Amino acid sequence: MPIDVNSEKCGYCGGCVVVCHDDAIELAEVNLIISNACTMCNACVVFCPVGALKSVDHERPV
Amino acid sequence: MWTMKDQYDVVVVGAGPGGSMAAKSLADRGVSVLLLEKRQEIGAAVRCAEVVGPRDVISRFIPVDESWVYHDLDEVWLYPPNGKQLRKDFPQCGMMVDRKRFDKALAIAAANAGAEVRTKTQAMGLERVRDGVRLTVRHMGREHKIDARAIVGADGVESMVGRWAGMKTALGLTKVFSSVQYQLTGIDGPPNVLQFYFGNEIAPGGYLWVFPKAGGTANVGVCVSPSCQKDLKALDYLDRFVQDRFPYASSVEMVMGGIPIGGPLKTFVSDNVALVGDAAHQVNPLSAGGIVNAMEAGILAGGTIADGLASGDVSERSLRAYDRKWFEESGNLYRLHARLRRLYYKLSDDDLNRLGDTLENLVMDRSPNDLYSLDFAKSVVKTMAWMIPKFRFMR
Ligand SMILES: Cc1cc2nc3c(=O)[nH]c(=O)nc-3n(C[C@H](O)[C@H](O)[C@H](O)COP(=O)(O)OP(=O)(O)OC[C@H]3O[C@@H](n4cnc5c(N)ncnc54)[C@H](O)[C@@H]3O)c2cc1C
Ligand code: SF4
Ligand code: SF4
Repeated sequence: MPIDVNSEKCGYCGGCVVVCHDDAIELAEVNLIISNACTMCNACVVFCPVGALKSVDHERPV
Repeated sequence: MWTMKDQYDVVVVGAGPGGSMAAKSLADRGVSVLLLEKRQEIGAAVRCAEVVGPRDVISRFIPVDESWVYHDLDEVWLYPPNGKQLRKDFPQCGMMVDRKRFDKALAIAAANAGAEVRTKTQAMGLERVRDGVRLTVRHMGREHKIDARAIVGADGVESMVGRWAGMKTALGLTKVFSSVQYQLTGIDGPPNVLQFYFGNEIAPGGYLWVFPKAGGTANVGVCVSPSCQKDLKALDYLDRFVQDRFPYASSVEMVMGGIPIGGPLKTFVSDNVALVGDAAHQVNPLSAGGIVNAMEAGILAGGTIADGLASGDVSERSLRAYDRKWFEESGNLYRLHARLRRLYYKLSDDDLNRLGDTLENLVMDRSPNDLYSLDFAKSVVKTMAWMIPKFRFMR
């Protein structure tokens, strides 16, 4: 998955869903599901109030 | 097994304030309604600072019940970045409520009016069929298909109903607040007073609030614009404030949230579908309050759909009556408030301090209702344009 959800931080508020223009995020009660429709725009990562989302590719050592 | 039917006149998705009021107004008109909530408890987890309108406003929807009221609010204190305190008496400007109980009371009112309500039941998708919409829902690991003449999408900031219906509901980062709150206990502060803090180091693009509840407890939270927040997160701003002001407080609840403050969708409807509340981005762009707004829209949408069912037409064209009524009542005010919000993003701390001084004069002799008027918003825009030259060239 291109975007990683830290479930210890996520508060299941659904805010990241509204900033995703690719319909890639869905909040199923207390499960945040990110699909392969993600285009890595990073909007949700910037948005999340508690920093629960991380773009996995950016993590790779250069 | 306790079953749902496979056919209703209307299915309302989401049992927040908007959904419950839509379901209630439909049931009041004798329409068969199913109200679905994906979470296991209506109202929980809270995503709110729990300020609603005053008694006379809320009692237009349901009788005020002390079991969900903390207290009435009578005063507002504003703090610009220089820390100067602007105090304004606002007798009966609102109420602090327990949103868990409040939301549940609204859903119970819908049920009492005749709506069927189900929790832990999530809408998963919709397809259009002849004569209406077929909704797929999941409850306890099982899938059901439900046919309805119309769907109300009252599914909050994370709304999917609009997307399924082909409406464009995604927001850019300037149009949504990133928000987080603690319910703190062990702090002192005056009851009945709403306190707001402003500044680019405190809450860039938004504000920080201290809303007292009972017995040394308060909702302390922040909303920031992700487009202004630099390298910090909403939580960093909140933690910095709490560490500074209330280092010895304890936290008994944590709340995260997104608030769609960019202004309403251009249209709330498509064939057989109407959106209300956060799903329709009906939050006030300036105050970021959305509870009463969602309730009002729920009633408007419910009434329009009931009319449409009675005349056999719930097409987009027929449902447009809901758009028209909403924009007639609130369109101009929201447009101005959205403009103020955009201007606000550009203010430096110096600008904010000066705005504080000017507001002091503008606000002091106005009545609370006045402050929500178009005239007032216009005068603030004018003052800002006059004060801060860079605004003269901005739309
Ligand atoms: C931190 C914070 C503080 C706030 N403070 C205030 C305040 O003090 N005053 C104020 O007026 N406003 C406040 N707001 C805004 C206010 O909370 C919202 O505007 C209001 O809750 C909107 O009501 P709603 O009915 O549209 O949506 P919601 O209350 O969000 O309800 C939507 C419901 O739909 C359910 N749902 C979603 N998808 C599905 C699905 N597929 N199937 C079934 N159910 C579904 C959700 O679980 C949820 O219960 C605040 C918001 C935040 C984030
Ligand atoms: S915005 Fe953050 S806290 Fe909220 S649901 Fe998304 S990942 Fe979780
Ligand atoms: S990175 Fe962009 S496309 Fe991917 S899930 Fe987040 S918002 Fe959606």
